[in-house]
Amino acid sequence: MARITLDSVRKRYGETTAVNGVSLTVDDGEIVGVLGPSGCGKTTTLRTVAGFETPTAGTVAFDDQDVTNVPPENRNVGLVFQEYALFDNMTVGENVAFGLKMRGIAKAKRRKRATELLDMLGIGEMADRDPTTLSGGQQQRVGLARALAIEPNVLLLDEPMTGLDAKLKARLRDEVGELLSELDVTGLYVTHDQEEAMLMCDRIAVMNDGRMEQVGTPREVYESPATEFVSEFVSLDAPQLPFVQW
Amino acid sequence: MSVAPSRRFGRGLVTATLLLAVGFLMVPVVLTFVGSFAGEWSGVLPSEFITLQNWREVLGLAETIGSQRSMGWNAILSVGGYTLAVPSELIFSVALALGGVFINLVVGVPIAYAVARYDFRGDEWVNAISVLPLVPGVILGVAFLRAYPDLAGTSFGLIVGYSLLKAPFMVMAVRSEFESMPLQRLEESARSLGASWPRTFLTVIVPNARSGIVSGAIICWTLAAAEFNFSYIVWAKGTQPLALFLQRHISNSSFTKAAAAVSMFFCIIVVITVLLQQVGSRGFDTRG
Repeated sequence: MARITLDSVRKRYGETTAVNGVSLTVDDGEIVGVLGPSGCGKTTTLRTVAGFETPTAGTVAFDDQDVTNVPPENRNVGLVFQEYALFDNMTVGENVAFGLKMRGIAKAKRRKRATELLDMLGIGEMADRDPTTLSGGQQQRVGLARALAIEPNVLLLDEPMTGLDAKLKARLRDEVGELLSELDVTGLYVTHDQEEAMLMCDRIAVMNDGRMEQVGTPREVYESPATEFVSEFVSLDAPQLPFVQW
Repeated sequence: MSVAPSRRFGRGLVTATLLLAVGFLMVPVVLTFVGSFAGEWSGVLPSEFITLQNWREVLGLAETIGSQRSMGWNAILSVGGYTLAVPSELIFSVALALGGVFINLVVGVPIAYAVARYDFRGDEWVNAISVLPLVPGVILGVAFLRAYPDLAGTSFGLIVGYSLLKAPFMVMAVRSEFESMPLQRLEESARSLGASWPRTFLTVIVPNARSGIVSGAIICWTLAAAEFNFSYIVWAKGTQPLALFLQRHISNSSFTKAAAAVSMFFCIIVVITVLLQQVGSRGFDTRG
């Protein structure tokens, strides 16, 4: 894992500015939640870290290495999407082993690694299944295993729980949160759900209109919001958060 | 327990309509197939069963009156008194239509991908142009002869023409398949896992769209094989395309012989469809 540094990243598409001077550091082993309403630039920020967007200005660095112009396939970044995006032409096990295959790792070894990861996520027996036969929660676990298999510098999660039912979401949130801290993963967790962000992330970055409004621990963001926007956005669901233990 | 009237009558009505429609469509096919084994078909129903003479004549295994050419049986192997022959001309004309499908695959899949995946200036135009050759074969045939007189009457000309005429069906089938999956997410997942773009396209994107590609190929092949107008205008000499072969056996022939020719056409279509499906499901299998 690595330390991720975004320095004054700006991204413009023609006349519109999607990301407007974002600076953020994610420490090694830390999970930072990027929280904000839709269209605030959080997904663009994530895509910039992954390498699918080249910033108009500013730099992205992994540890001390500037990766601003490194193509996505050479960044060693794990991606987990809301849509799962599993490869239907492969089994569950092959999905998980895909990244290792791209790195030229021998078949037996990548199979072993895939099985380990699937076991760790509690779906070890599904390695030979067709991913389309799995439930939403199971598919998301496969997506997570696939991203973790390459031992990424950073794990990027784009609304991974959206679309799952509340009960499953709560369970997966606990499990995945535990797993990520156990594995000491450096992660960016994009979500519009503040409850999810507060429970799963070490720090939260609140974004609005392409800018970082506040970066801090869940407690800081919740108790002393830096701007009016943060205060409004975060307090909206606050009564639902009595179970957050400080 | 009482069943809702809508359900009681509705289901029966739907089933009856379906059976009637399928029956109406299937009767001519079945009748033609049965008729191809008849010796006489002058009334409503064929008679004088069972003879294989019609099939022999259509397949070019029996001498026929006049100048009707056979299907070009070529002996490829002779052992003792037996000769193994293949209908080389038939195979060739099946291959003509398959050639068109091949061009459609190579050109149509990337176009469908580009239109489904990217917003670019003029994407609507590309989309419109790829669907534009949805013109009748006569029009394309005449235009084709004017523009490329050298290609007139050549097999290559026919193959290119078939691919142009049927390309829209490939683009539409594959595009809707691409649009039904999280194309960008799949691509980004594969890229982030270390696959280069070409590798992503060939090992993830194309295999994930296999059902659309296979159905596009089947539609294109069937339509190209049955394309009469374009073939009639462009074909000059040499091996006849399937549609012309069919026409030759329908005009100036007895009813029963026409039935055999049509039945043979059905059989070829079924065989090629099954083959394309098999190739489709196995060819994209990257397991192992």
